[in-house]
Formats: sequence, C-alpha cells, structure tokens
Amino acid sequence: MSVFTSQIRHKPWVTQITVLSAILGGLLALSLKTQDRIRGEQMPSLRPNQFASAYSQLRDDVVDQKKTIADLQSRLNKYQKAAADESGNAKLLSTDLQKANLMAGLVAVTGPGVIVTLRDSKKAPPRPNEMAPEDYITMTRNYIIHSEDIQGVINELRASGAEAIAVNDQRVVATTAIRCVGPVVQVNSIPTNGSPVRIKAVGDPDMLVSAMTMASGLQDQYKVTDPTMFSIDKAKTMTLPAFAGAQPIRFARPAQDQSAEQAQRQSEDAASATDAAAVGAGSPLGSSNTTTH
Amino acid sequence: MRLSAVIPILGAFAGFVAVYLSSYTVSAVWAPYLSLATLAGVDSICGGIRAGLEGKFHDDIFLTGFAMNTLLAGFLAYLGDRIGVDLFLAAVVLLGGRVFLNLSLIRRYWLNQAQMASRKKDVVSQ
Repeated sequence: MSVFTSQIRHKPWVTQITVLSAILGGLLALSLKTQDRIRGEQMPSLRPNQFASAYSQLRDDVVDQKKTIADLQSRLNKYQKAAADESGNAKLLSTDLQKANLMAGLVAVTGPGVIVTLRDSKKAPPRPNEMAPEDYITMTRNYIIHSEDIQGVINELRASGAEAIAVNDQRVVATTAIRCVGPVVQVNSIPTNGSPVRIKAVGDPDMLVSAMTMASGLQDQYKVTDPTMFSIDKAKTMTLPAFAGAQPIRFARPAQDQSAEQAQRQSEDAASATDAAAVGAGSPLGSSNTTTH
Repeated sequence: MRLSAVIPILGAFAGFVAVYLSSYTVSAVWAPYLSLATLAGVDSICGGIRAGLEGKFHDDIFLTGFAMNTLLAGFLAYLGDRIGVDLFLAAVVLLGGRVFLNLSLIRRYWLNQAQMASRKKDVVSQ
C-alpha cells in the first residue's frame, strides 16, 4: 500500500488520469452498449430483404401455378367436349356442365354489357399543415375509391341482371373477396389497380345503365363529392376472363337428401313469413312505420 | 513506475464495469457522437499519460483538454451531419493518429527506462 501512496504522492497526475479514465471507461461502456442495442434493433430491418426475395419467388411460383391451372382447365374442357361427342346422355350432361361453368365463372365469357369506371377524385382538399395525417385520411375518405364502392357497384349490377362481372379483369365468382390493401385493391387475393377501377359486367346494357344512373341511384351518390369519380359506358361486346385462382372446396359437401329438404323448407318458410308480414302491414313502408311506434 | 499506467487502466475498467452493469443507454441518434467523444477521451488519456511520463503534465491543460476535445469531437460530428460533410471522419483520423503517436511515445519512454535500469544494474554489479 505504501508503494501505491508514495507513487501517487510523487506523481499527482496519476490520480487525475485515473479519475478521468474511470469516466472514459464509463463512456466506452455506454457507447458499446448503445451500439450493441442499435445492432439488435437493426436486425429486423434486414428482414425486408429476405421477405422481398421470398416474395418474388412466391410470385414466380404463382405465375407458374396459374399457367398450370389454365392448362389443366383447357384440357378439362377438351375432355368434356370429347365426352359430349361420344353419346347423347353425356351430351346432356356436358351442356349442364357448361352452364354450371358459366355460372361459376370458370370459363371466359363474351357478350354485351357495361364498363363502370371508379376513380379517386382529384378535388380532395390539400392537407392543412396543422392537421394530423390520420385526420386528413378521415376527412378525404369520400374522395377515395374503397372496396365498399366496388362492392356497391357489383351488388347493384347483380341486382339488375348482370350475368358475369370482372373487377380490373379479375373475374368475380362466388368466393371472391374484394379488399383494400394499402393503395391497391385485392380481387381474388390478387393486387390490382386502386384507381381507376374498371368493373366490366355482361348483361343487358340498357338495363344495367338505367339501373346505375337512376335518380338517387349509385351514380348520384358520387355527384355530391365529385361526378368524375363514377362513369359508365356501354359495350357492344367484351370478353371477361375465366376465374384463374384455385379455390379448393374443403368444408362444403353436397347435403344429404333429408337435411337438404329441411333446409329448403326453412328457406320457403322464411320467404312466406316475410310475405305475410308485408301483407299484414299493408306495405313494406307501413311495416317500417309500425316498428317506429 | 509501471503502476502509473496500471492504475488508470484499473480506473477505466472500474468505470466500464459500473456503466456496463447499469441499464442506461443513449438513443440511436446520439450514438455516433458518443462513440466519437469516447475516442476523444482515449486520445486525451493517452496524451495525459505521455505528458506525465515526460514530466510535462499540467492538470489544467489536461482537464480542459479532456472536456473540450470530448465535446468538440461530438459537436464537429453533429455539425458535419447537419451540413452534409463527413466531418467526423476528420476527427476519427486525427484522434486515431494521435492515439497511436502517444502510445508509441509512451512505449519508447518505457523502453528507455528499462534500458537505463538495466545499465544501472550493470554499473552496480560491476
């Protein structure tokens, strides 16, 4: 100990350097720990690269699979045609199958119809500086086309007799979902253009146009915000692609006779009950009045 | 006299352990400046040891040097970031060079002393 103290007494600078060394050691530890933490935090940011490569590979896979599906479908069609040529009974079956395919959207269809185009409005007011981005999105919601708009159009088209519908050249079938994902619209889980959205419908063009443009109809809803958001054109002939996705049916099975009959009866009962209620109240309008009392 | 270098190293170790065991870290924004300040600190310590060994140690110069260099290095890096010039590279090169220079001088000093000591021993044995 005496060695230490004598040394230090002789060299006062050792004490000072020691004190500052301690501070420096602290600084060193601090920056080491901080760098370690930053490295740890940066790990997730490396992942998007991996995601990107996995994504592009999956996308290539999807393209391949789609080709396979199209190939298989055309072969199936050929077999069905071949079967139809063989015998009368099979021919009957084949026409049924063709009809079912048409209904299900599994074959490309061509015919007259309309093209509805939905566009984001350019008239949306600019964001005031003091407004939060979230509030701005809420404020300009009406100026942007959302999946609800597309679904509204599809619903109206179907109600007025559209036989086949495609959104952005993606065929709308029984299992189709239409979703807004960021700036794109996913149709059949395939990202498509968010604006303009083109909805093609095969059906009676006059009927479809009048259904969409009737007073206080769909088109009128957009007049308040911006009439350019909604436009409809007749087409003499157009071709809608077949449904290209694969949608394996895993849970639904054709119902057994008994339960099928029961379900049928239930649906008829429900229909007649609604009729009775409507008749009892005089009119649908009347029934709504009675509920408000 | 080797102790004059060992004690500061022990001090640095103590400080290191104390902060390392604490849970405190700095935000990522300040991390580069902190690293640079640490480097400046290393430079000052080396310079101080060298001056001490040469017998030219002045506590006021040393203390202000440590504080000013540390802060100035951080500030230079910050300024460089703001005006888009990698000024912190200049600080890294300069400070790193000085650390090497000082370390080599300290090494030479020790070697000299060791030589002198062995000569003394020779003289005594003769």
